[in-house]
Amino acid sequence: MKLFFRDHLSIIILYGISFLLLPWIIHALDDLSSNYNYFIFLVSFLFIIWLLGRYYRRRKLYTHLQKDAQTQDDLYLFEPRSPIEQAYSSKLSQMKYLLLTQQQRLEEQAQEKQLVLSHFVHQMKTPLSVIQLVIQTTSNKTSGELQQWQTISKECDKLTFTLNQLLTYERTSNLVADLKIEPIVLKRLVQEVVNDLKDYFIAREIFPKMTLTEDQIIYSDRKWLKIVLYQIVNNAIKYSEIAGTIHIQYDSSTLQIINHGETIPDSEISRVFDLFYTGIKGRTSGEATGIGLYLAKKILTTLEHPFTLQSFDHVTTFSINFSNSRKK
Amino acid sequence: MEIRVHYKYRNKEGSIDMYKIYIIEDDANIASLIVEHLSKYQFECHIVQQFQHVIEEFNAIQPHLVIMDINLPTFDGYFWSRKIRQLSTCPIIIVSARVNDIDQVYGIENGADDFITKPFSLDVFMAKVNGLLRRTYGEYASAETTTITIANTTLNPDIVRLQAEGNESLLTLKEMQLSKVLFEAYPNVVPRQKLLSAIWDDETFVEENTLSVNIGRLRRKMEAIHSKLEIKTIRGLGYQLVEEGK
Repeated sequence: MKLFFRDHLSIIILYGISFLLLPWIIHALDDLSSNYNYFIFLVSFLFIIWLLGRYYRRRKLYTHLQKDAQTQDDLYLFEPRSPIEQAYSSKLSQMKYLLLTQQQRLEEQAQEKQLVLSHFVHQMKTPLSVIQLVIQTTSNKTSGELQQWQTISKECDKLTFTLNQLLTYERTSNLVADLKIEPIVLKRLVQEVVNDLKDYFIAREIFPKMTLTEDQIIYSDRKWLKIVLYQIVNNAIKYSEIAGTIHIQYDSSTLQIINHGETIPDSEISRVFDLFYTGIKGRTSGEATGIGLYLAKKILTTLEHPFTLQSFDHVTTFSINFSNSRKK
Repeated sequence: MEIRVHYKYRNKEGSIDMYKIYIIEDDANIASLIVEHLSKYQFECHIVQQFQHVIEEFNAIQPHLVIMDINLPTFDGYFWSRKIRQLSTCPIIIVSARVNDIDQVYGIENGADDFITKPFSLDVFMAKVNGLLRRTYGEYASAETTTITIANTTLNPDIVRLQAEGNESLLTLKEMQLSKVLFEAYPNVVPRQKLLSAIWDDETFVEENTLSVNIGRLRRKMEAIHSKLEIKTIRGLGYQLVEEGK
């Protein structure tokens, strides 16, 4: 009620003045009928003045209401003039305050979850280390025993890989803030990745063949690109036929990782990058997590390296194009 | 099997003594497995007793090397590394499940000399321990214990030769690496994977036939020096060093 009166104060005053002046105007103009046009002009003039005043005082409110809010700052109304603007502005601040409190609560929850997750992963690594140390310190007398220990060891490696993948996934949530673009000798990076995967290569008896040279330099984020290559090479090993060869080559600014194994059906190719999509092969072998390629896609998209996955006649090729990240 | 390679040093009085290693790790299993492995190589190991009194224990033991975990009760490994650094230049290896670059950087900045992430391989662990000891305290006092003799055959890594019955044969790098693994594992079967891992090259990796070709050459060399040992192929599994006629 109070706001209503304050908001309409100007029109109440205008109306009051008009009424008070009416007898005087009629008297001053002698006869209203002969000066009717002048009377209309006078009243319209006052009305236009009032409209202009109102527009000046409420301009911000109308523009604000018509504009689409893009950022959080668009939800503010700065320096409100008229009472309705002031009231609207304070309502906006209240809404914003409520939203921010909720956002903060959610962020705190997410952060706590992240913390718990990484804590659990690290906690799980200790028992894994114990198992692997036991495997390494046990000397085997019979070949049967040896095979059993090797199976356990392989399963441990899988667990380690998945745990690390989980940590990587958790860290990709603020990927852009973490980027550091620097020149990278692609050969060195690929070598590191292959050597990190040494045990996996050996366990599956798959042999890497790399034909890169020292002068192939690209610009990218070393840490994240390494994670991507690790995932891709890991997949290449996983889906390679036993005792096969994985070729890693670089041609016209495209890095290709080629493995021989079952062809990925066309219907699956576009979906393998979806989170938790494992495909028929992955589901039958039970080894796919559906996270690796999703992470690779997410990181490569952020790094702005175009990539393709092709699969024909038992040859699967993953290509990453570095033409826009080469040395100028 | 008794391990023949021992790492010891000459103390101030001139006699040969064991290196002392202090292990600060809150997981009892990991600590005891590390100790078990280190003891095989004749290291004197001390596991932390009270996590509040690390410094007092450090002073009492006066170790040559410290193995440090990061997540510990009371204070963390960074804190203790800093404290130990104030007292001594003794090398510190951090063993932790944390894989972030920043954790490693922070560890090194706080005075650690090296960082190993869990889970880790004992071979890498031993290599780092030995490397740090050698860099800090100089060459081992007893280097002559590295030869391995089985039956009539001796593997001598220092001169890269295989010796038997007065004959000897010079080995290539890969043959040397293979025979070392086979000799150390005797009489157990060595899986193909372990052998492939031994001859893996960080630059050129390993090729399809490298293993069988090198095993073949090694067999011929053993035959040529009239060694009583032979390398038996265990199908689908690996290779085994056996004494002829046994």
